[in-house]
Amino acid sequence: MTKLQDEIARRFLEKLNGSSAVAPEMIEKLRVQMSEKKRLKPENLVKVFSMPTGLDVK
Amino acid sequence: MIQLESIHIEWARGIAQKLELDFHKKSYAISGPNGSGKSAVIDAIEFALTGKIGRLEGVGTKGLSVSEHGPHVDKAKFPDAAFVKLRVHFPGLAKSATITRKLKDPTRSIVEPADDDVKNVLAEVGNHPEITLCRRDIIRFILVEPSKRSDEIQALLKLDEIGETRSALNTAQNRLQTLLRSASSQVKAVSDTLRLHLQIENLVADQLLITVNKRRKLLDLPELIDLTPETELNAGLPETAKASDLNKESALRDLKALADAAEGFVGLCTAETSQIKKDLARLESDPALLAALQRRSFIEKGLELVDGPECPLCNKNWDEEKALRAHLQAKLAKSEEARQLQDSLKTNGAVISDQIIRIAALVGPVEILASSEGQRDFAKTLSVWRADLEALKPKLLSIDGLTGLKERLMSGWLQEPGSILADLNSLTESVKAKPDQSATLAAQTFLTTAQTRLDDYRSAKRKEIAAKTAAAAGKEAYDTYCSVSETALNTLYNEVQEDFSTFYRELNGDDEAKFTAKLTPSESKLDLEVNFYERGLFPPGAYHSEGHQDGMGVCLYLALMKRVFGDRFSLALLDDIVMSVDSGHRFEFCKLLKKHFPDTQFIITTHDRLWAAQMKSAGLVTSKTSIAFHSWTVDTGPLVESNESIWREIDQALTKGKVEVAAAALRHHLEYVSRHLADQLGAQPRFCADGDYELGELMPSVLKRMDQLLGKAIDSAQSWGKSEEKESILDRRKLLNVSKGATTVEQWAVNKAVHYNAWANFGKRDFEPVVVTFRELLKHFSCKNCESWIYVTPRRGPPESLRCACNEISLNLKPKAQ
Repeated sequence: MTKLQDEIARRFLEKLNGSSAVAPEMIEKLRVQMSEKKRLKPENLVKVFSMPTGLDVK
Repeated sequence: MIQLESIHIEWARGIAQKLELDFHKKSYAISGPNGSGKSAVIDAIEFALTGKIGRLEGVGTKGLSVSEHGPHVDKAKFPDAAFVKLRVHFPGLAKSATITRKLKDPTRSIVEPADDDVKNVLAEVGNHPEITLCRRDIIRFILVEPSKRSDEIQALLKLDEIGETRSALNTAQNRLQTLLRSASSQVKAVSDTLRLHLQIENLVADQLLITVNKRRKLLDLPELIDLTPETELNAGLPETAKASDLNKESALRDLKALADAAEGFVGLCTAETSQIKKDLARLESDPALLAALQRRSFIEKGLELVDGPECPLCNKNWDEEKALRAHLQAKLAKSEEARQLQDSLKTNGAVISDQIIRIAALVGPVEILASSEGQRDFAKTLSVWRADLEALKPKLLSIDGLTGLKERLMSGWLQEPGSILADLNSLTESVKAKPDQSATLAAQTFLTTAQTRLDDYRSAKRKEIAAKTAAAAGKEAYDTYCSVSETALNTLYNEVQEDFSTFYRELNGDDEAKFTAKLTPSESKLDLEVNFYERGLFPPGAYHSEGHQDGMGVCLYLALMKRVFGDRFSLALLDDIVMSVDSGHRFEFCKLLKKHFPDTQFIITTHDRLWAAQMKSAGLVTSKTSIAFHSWTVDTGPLVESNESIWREIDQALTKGKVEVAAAALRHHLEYVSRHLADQLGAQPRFCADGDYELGELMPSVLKRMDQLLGKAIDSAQSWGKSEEKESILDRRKLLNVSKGATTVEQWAVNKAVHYNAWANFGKRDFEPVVVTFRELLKHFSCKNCESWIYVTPRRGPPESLRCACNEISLNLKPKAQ
């Protein structure tokens, strides 16, 4: 049986996929962290969301 | 996940020597009076599966441990002898395994075969101690305050991980917001130094290009039409010219800017530091403020729940509700004060942090200038100071950091170099003393410096954009997770609510057929309200009786387990909790288990023999899958009584010539069976208010009742014209009467009055016929096929049928209407 938290994680990542605010590489990193079955650490999440996005000054 | 095949217990808890039970992968009932060793079996199963014994954990068990108090008391000094061997079947893997665990070493188990898939399933089972439910657990779900219920249920459903993930995402998004604020401050600071150099009011492309093109024209460089991310302001300058970094006018402006700023250092952020000092002093003088802040949400919820003079947070009784409310309001006021204090500290710290960014941006160009002008000591002083300011910045953004800065804030937080104004003056004079640059050189250095500062601006801007992106992503992730988890939890609670209501309705269909329940989750509590006879929704403890509340506990447990495991809910150990279901609804409870959990193996203990018998009648267990303990001694452990084994025990006693043992066992068994049959068949012995019926009173009334019921069955068959069935029942009645006659002859042998004295000269051959007679008699009351005792339905009112659990025996007692 899929655990509820696994199901929530799956739907969470799926919903993020449709969001323009979160880059696909961030979602992939999140997927990896959430599948490691360890407690998520804020500092690791900060790193995930702070990934270089390739954007530049206009 | 798993089903139990068998267990072998040696010297564990109340089991002396050894006990072996064969569960047949089916639901199994263990009955016996209090203290007969039933729970020891549950303990042993739980121990084999998890290495823990719930009874030795939790409130009131301080000083108890499995390794020390798990072994039988006689083996306390030889704990090596105490072990449990559990044979487990894994339906999903189509294999079985044996787990052996010694009480002295609870964390270590030997699994054979030690296959990875087997170990994985066992690890999952070990992570779910809630497969064991005992009476004291039920109250956890029903009669606790909503916040605790939420904790209990979230722990049961293993939902704490969801809360942890949400909290980590929230902390991350807060940190990203702080980083964004710093990045924006940095952009502002470098933008100011760029504007200072360009001498423009606003940093907009048009103004920038006009200023730059003026110099480029002077140098005969092509005009820059547009400002793009790739635009180089000094494009076209020879590399040698690009290397010249000092623009005298700009350098003097930089020096003046820092000097002007330095003039204001003394009073810089005085209001903010003063406020921080005051706030820290308040925290120091009143440590309860911080504690109050941490408890704020807890008290807020407590206040919402106040409904009488009993505190919903600690159960303390107050004289009146008003006093309790005033007490909580005071606590809340204290935490509100703490929250304001925290906000004040963070806001003022952020203002100082912004000033640090501004000053560091002013120091940077001067540091480079001092170095290039050969004033190395001043350059080093500025470098050390700037590094110190950089280190100070993050500390200003947290309460812990600010608390650690108390001394510095008292003595002057900026800690600028003491000679800064003199050194700036000296450096300014040194730059001024330089010959004026030619217009060409001034234009070249202007462009080169402008480009350097534009690079700094672009870098800061890129970081700000990245920080914005990160903050937006962090916020989106947090909001999305909250929304998804909230939806999922609401769905889950709706499903649990639905199942719970269904189970309870089926259990109490006769008087609560319209029962409904409502589980309302919020951030950290879970309200449960139940319908009381269609008069509205109320907390379970408001109007329902204790028996009904217990029934609710069992139903809620089953609903939750269904959600925890889904179709893998294959095993539950129910330790004396079925007593929670009142006697009128036990049959329905058995039906509920069979209907909704057909693939779940329930190991059920009960101290009520009738309950145990009803489980058989309902077909939840059979004679093969039930056992009765009639008593317990410290030397023997549980003493087993069962329909099959009792005859074996009697035979064994007779073989050894122990007639008195065989007679006592037979009498004991007849007492048990006659009491049970009296209930099952609706016999009418002389009523005893204390329920202390003698065998001599019960057995005749059972025989009489059976004769009456068979008479009704004969009449019924006659009325329906079923002559063959009528003949069959007549034969049954005839045989019963033969057996009855025989037992009347032998009755004296099991008479209480002749116990222990007349047997002294009694031989094996004398007693054997007695045993055969009673054994034959009891056969008339049970089914050959399912071995259950027969019973009459309905329990109350005119009897309609006489049947067994498997329906092999099913005699119609209702005659055809005339």
